[in-house]
Amino acid sequence: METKAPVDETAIRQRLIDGDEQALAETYRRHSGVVLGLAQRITRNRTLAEDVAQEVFVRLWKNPQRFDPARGTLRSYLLTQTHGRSVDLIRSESSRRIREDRDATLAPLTDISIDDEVVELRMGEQIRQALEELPQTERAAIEMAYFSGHSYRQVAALLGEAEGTVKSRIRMGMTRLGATLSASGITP
Amino acid sequence: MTHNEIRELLALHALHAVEEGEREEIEAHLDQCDDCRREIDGHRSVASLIGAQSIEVDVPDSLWTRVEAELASNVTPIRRDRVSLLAAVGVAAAMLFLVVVQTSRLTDVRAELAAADLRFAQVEQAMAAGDWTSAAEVAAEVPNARSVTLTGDGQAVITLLPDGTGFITESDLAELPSDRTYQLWIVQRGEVVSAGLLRRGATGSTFRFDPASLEGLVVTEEELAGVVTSEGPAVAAWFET
Repeated sequence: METKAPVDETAIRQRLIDGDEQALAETYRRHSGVVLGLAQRITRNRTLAEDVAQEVFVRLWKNPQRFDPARGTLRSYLLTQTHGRSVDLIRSESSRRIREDRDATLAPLTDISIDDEVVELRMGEQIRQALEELPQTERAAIEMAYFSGHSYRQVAALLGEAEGTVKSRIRMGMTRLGATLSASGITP
Repeated sequence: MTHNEIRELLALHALHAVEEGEREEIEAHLDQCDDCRREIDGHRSVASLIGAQSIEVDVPDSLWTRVEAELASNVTPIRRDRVSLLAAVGVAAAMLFLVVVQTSRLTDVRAELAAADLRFAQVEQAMAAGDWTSAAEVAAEVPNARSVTLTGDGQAVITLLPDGTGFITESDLAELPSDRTYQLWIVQRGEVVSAGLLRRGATGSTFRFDPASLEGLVVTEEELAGVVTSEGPAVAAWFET
């Protein structure tokens, strides 16, 4: 998915720590599209998604030291932050009604995945394929947690399964997915 | 939870799929356990790959404008004809034709935070976690911190820290249409300074102010990208007595 020129992210981090606004602008240009896209996909609400994206980049500016290049890429860090804030937002009381509206318009679970979205890029296809190769029960639990923002307890309740079962499925699925992607040489 | 119990939850934590209490316990454990930190880094990479499939969308120019607005507090000129806001804040005589005199750079903020004590760190930690109630509770124990209430058509409670950090801890401001936003203004030394746009729902919005010169705080309703000078009436306001 990452087709842009490699960037020295350690240098970017240091520039952010030094207060170089241009470093933030470059990071924003490079990643704001996918950050907003993920936030929009999870919140299903453009306004909420923009709130999330705004917060993610402001937080990066205020606390750049929290991004550790040794622990992952900047894109991975930003997407982790985006996902966390999006999930917090749709779980919050104030967004309950929005979430209910959103859930009411959700496509069936099997259609939540990426079929209608980014498939033209080879990496996206490989990730999709790796997801599809998972046992359906593992894939469903992961997608319900990730894209719908449900906790594993909520997933268990929705699926009518024991919490321990859902925990195991997510853990196994994530481990299996990681191994498949790693074997394919795919990193964030 | 034991180390092994936490390890079983790491993949779920990477998906933000654990409960609040579990999340705090896991985060505390991650601060101390290199093995678990390495493991969750792997899970987070996988999770971000799942997320990276989300289609890249066109980003509106207004979003960067909003980011920039939150990054810096700009002292803005108040024009003579902007009477509504002036009337609302009641300090009209001191607010005419002022020019930009200050940009609060967050490098300064970082330097201040670096020197902050444990309480500040705890407040910052709660703020970073989005736990504004806890942040306000801890802030109440910080010497010279205080809580003020903006009143008007709506109400907002703001915590003011002595290092010049402010954040909204409670709000009942009416929900706005998607093309409108609330903007916070600082009254200081007779000037009206934009403190930035409030996030949706207002609670959790942060801003910087000069503790030595703060005279009031005003919230107005504006167009989504915010305004340089306000023509809008004050929705809520507070002034130093």
